[in-house]
Amino acid sequence: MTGPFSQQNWQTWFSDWTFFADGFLLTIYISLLALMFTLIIGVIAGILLCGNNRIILSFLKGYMSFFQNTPLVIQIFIYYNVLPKIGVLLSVEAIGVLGLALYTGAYAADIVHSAIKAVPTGQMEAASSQGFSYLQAMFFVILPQAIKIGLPPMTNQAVNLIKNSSVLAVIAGGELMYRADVWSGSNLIYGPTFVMTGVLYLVICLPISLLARWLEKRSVRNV
Amino acid sequence: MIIFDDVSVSFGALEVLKGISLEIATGSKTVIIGPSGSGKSTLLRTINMFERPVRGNVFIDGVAISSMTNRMLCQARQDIGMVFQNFNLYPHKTVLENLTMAPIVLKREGKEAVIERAMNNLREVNIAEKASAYPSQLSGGQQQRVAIARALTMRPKIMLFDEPTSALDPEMIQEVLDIMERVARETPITMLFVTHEMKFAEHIADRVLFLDEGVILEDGSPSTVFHHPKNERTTAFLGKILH
Repeated sequence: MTGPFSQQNWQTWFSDWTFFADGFLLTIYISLLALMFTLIIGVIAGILLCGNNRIILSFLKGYMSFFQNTPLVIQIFIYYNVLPKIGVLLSVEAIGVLGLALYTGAYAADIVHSAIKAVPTGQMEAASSQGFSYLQAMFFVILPQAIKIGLPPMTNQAVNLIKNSSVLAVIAGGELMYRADVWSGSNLIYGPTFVMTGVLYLVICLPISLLARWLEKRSVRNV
Repeated sequence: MIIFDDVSVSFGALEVLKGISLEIATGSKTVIIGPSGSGKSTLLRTINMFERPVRGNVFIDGVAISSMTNRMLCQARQDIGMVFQNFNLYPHKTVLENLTMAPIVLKREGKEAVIERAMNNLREVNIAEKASAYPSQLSGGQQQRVAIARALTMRPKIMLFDEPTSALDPEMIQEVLDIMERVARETPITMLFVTHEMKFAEHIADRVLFLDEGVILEDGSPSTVFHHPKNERTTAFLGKILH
């Protein structure tokens, strides 16, 4: 067989599999760290969005509007090209984690906020009537219920985050997509490279998507 | 003793309570009746500061709960149980955990002692066999009985019942009324009920308040208020409720 998917192309690709495996691991590593910070941003911002401090609210609205409505790639370029000009020099991994977390966190804040709002107001009243403070009620009563509501959409954001990590290729991120780009360019083997790279993303994302769908079904049943 | 001193509560431009002055004796059982929108739930919710007065003060055992800081208020609310129209059990906790969570977390009581007390209270409301069930597995009447037991487990000095049978299917109302009646007779807790259940009121109340448009129009024993009302609005309201 000749053409982009010739046997020789496949063989060459597989002979260099460790190069891709390293990128794959880095993608997982960056995504996991970014996801952790996304959740932290999402929970803190989501709780603050339920309050009524105007300064905090307009700050959060500003943050969310900016990060949701500008391309992630621009945000990444700013961290990579502009921040060093003002003396802030970050490693590409740090930019990856920070960039993905700030971007996805803007969506996570919305999810946490809506999930908290979806918990009936009677729950906060019941907790307050027993003497729980606002934060105690959040922690013991509201958030455990909000997690159930917010988990399916949050899981979808995790998938988006992993796929979006491919944007780091534009700043030589060293992750999976960057390696696919570099390797295919220097070996002139594109077919197997991008198919297999796609498969590697699929291997992480598909189970998470299926988990999200299962969680969604389960939460509908429990209502 | 609970004292209302010229208490007014407003929602925006609407004045819901208009200068209420009132003394509720410790250990007494008071039933508050009145048409919807009369302010009876608001009166109840002013006792635990779910509604804040725009004027006047509410005192509980001599302390002005209406001018407490948030932290003091949380402390004070531990002694004021509330039973809601919609039960508001914690759906992510079992029946037993619904009862034990607040005493363990807030009062830092030992787990075993709290569980023992909670089980006693569940027996008191005839639902001990459901201790490990989740609220969604219970009927409305059962949920409300658990809610009563939850409030009792905090060992409150005051208990507020905000239309506890209004959301129940007709066949479940009696079981909850029976339980409330028994609890009311057996405990020294000061209890206030907002309810339309006149027979219940007649059985357990030392005192009935009739509220209309944010003002107390009648204040007396059940037999006085129900059978010899002073105000014709009371007569008209009772006529609608009793027939």
